Amino acid sequence: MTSVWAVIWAILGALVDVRRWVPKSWREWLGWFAMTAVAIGVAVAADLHLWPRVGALHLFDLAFSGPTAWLYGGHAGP
Amino acid sequence: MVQISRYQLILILIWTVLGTGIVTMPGTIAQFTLRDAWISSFGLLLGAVMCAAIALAHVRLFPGRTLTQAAIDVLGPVFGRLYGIWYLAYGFVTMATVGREMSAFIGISVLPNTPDFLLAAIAFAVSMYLSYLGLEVVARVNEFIVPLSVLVSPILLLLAIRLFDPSPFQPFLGDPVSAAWRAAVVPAFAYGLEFSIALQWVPALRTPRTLPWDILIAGAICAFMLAALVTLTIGVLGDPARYLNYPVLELVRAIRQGKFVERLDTLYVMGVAITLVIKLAAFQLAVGEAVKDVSGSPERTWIPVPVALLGWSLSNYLFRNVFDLTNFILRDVPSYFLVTVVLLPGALYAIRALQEAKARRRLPST
Repeated sequence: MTSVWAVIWAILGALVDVRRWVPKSWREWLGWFAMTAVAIGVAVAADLHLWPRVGALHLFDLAFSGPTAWLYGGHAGP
Repeated sequence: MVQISRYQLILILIWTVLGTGIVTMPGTIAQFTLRDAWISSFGLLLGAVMCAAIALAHVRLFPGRTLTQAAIDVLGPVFGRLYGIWYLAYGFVTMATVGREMSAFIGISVLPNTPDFLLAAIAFAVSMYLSYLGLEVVARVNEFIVPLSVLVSPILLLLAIRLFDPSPFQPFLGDPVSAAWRAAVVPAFAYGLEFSIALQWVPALRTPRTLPWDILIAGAICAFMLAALVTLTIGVLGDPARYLNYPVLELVRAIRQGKFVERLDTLYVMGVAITLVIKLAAFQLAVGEAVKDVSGSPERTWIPVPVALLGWSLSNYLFRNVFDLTNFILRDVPSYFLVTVVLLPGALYAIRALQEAKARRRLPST
């Protein structure tokens, strides 16, 4: 019985071993915080339905719909 | 570092491209042409050829380096990292697109009452753990699903062939060339250019010199599989294929053999879900390498959690519905990918070639 619990704890420990998942140097912490902060901000914005009038997709459209239309041979869509 | 073989690399590339390819591409192709849809599928080969050319330059100029490491080598730490951030944006947007394609597909096909963000969360969590375990594990998972797909796919295709009607393809090559080309744009420039993520795995390849050939082999296999699937889908569904978001799903739903063989779409949805998770894991691995290079970190075990979290958040935020997603893929992705994974890396390699030529000219005079 003891060995079964030992195996379960070993599996759990390997999965949720926090020491292996956390950053160590300040550069790693900076990257970790930057990505996590953007992720939380974006998740909150999605939850509160905060979509600006000129959103990311609009910016992509402004920058790339023209060249893509050229790839289609001058037709923007079907 | 544990390295992967050519066979494993080819398998990862096939599922990376076909993961969403079999869900989205037949629908986008059918919007432009039905008669010439089969030939438009070979647009995927054009994307593979472009990626192979870029890979050839990469493995000659930067053996054993990732694309983002190469950018830092050529442009220096500041501008090189700026390119790295641009590449990260590409990786996250692609991950968000794949994640949203998956949550929309699963939501529409089998779990209509489950919130899409929850479906995406499960997919991102699984793929996060896969990417935490590393490229070799992802490669082994790929190897595991190949026998299953080799067994199931031909059965589905053979059962569907009974319903095939060649009339949607007549007259043969009857649509104008421009329609076939427009239908080939998404396979060539959106999905075909996804082969370039292999550049982020160069240090983990057992034989990096063969990378261009491996991309071409994977591209050819994907193109033939897509052409067969598109031909069958249009032959079975006919004109309505133009108006369906997921025509292959309807093709599989149409299969019925007696009273006992029906509703095989559950098998298809399970297969698509597996391949999409593998695709997400592949992109998380490529993005993880870019994060490692940009942050100058020697470790990668801290990277999967924030990468998966951001990919998941973006997938929920960027695309509110399937229309947003399809519009983005049709209108923006082709030139966005062309710039990010062909033109900018091409400029990097040109700069490195010039730097090497200058260095060679200086050597005799010193």
